[in-house]
Amino acid sequence: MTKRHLPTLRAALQRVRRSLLVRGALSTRLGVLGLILLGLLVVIAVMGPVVSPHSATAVVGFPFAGPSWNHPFGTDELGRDALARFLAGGGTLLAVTFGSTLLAYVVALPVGLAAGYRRGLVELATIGSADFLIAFPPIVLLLLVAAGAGSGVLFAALAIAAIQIPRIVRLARAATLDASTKEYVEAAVARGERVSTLLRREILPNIWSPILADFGIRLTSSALLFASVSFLGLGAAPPSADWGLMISENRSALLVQPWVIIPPAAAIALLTVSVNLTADAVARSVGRSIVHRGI
Amino acid sequence: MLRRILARLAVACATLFAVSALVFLGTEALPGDAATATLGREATPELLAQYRAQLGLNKPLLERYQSWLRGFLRGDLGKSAPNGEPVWKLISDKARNTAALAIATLILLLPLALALGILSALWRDRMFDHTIAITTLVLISSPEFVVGTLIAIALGVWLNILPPLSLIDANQPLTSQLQALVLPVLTLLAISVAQMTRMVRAILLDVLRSDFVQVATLKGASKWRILAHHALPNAAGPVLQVIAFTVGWLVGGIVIVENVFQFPGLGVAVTNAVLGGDLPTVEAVTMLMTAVYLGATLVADIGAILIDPRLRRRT
Repeated sequence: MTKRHLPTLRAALQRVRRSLLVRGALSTRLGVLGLILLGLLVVIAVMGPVVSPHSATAVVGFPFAGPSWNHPFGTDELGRDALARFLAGGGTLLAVTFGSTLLAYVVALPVGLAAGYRRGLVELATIGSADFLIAFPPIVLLLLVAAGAGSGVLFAALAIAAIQIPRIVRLARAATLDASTKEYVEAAVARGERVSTLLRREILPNIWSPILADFGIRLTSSALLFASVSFLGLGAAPPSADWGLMISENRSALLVQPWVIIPPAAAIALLTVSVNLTADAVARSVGRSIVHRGI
Repeated sequence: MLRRILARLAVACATLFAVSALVFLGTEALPGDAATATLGREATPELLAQYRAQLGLNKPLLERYQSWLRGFLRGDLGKSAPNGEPVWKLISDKARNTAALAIATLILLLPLALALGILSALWRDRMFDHTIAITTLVLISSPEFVVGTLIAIALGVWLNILPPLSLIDANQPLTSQLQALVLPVLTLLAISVAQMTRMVRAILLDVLRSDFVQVATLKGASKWRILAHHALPNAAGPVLQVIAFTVGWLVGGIVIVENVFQFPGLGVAVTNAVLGGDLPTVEAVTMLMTAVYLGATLVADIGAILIDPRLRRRT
């Protein structure tokens, strides 16, 4: 990196530090703890497969062997190294959690903004279809997608995005309705701003706080849904390593070899707990403090 | 008021109708039907065509949807794909088991969550409130199958009190096998109590911050009088919504928890139907589950209209 780039980099870093999300996350001690735990899990998921001593799919011993020096977590139902599978198993969950949640925001924010600002038929149609989709419990929607379209990581990820979209649309629309009666919006209309500019420059920056307060709930809910779908056998497919799948594959050995189940179970719980700790700090910093698991 | 209730009922019926369309068309419109599921790998094109004609699968999609819907309205849930038995016969026992699980959970959940939520709102920022806040945050963050597995390890393996699976003998009455309900109910309770406690606390804190509670406090009313006469009646509407929300969670949560303990209910049945491509069973069970959730929100909304005079006035 040349010297010329440094000021822009510094400015970018400063902007990150000033952003509502980061400031909020760092505003309480629990929020910082959440970020540290989340970082740790990302490191495990990304670096895990690289540093793993064994292959995640190679058979290295007897099925359900207990912990030993060579295999600290023992082996799984097929005699594969449990540690290697644990290290390789977090990537899909993290990628789907962040990927489908972000995809949902990319689709839902413009729709919600347009529905809240345009009113009339556009709003009615959008809210009608959002309410209709929300009438399904999320797991039911996932089961339907798996039955109709097929199982697998991609279908599960798209279905999870489809579950989050109507919930974000409703929130964005309500916040936009609120914001669009403010004087600064009327001033922009009087100035003759284009609608797209108006939504982007005047309304979007002013509806960030309810959206940020909800962001953590969406992330947690995506993580829980994908882990559950994998557990049911409709997400990650064998023989790939996945934390949710590891638990369901080895459930029969709960009594003899719990060490192949405890690490992935703890890691999934840690992921969602750390997201919630961070989300709670962000939500409190923007003046809202109700965190739930979303449905 | 009556008009509002009727309007709400109409919306619920319309939604249920739209739900049925999505359930049927979403599962049937794509390739892979009951005929391929039944015949499996041995299917030849001729056999498939013959079987489809027999099941009426070669008719246009909309026509099939109509006859499926008409059957549903008469209480005929269709025939299961692998063996052609009526779906209702296959799932009626399981529906009973799942209902027992859900009702047992709800009976224990409501008093527990209301008491914990009210107490932690009253004792805000004290030791009790903080303990509840952290415990519930951890519980609402954990997937159902992780909580269930950890409870099974703790009670079944380390303490050795209960078997880690809930096998129910279909020939025995459910009342004689209540121990099979313990682990699934505990798991569902752990998560739903945590979730509902947090929401009840938030609602109550909102009400306690309002002007009329301040006036009552300044007037010198006692803490319990304020709670009983001013705060709780105003919190009742939102709490009903929270209960409906919890039922919505329970419908999905039960699917996961039943799979953790291999509890013979609708959740395990629908998962196996999805894995086995038994579309008629998937359609029937998902319709049932969505209808239960819709019913719960409907009851909560009507309850809110009945309780809250502000909702009654505007017609």
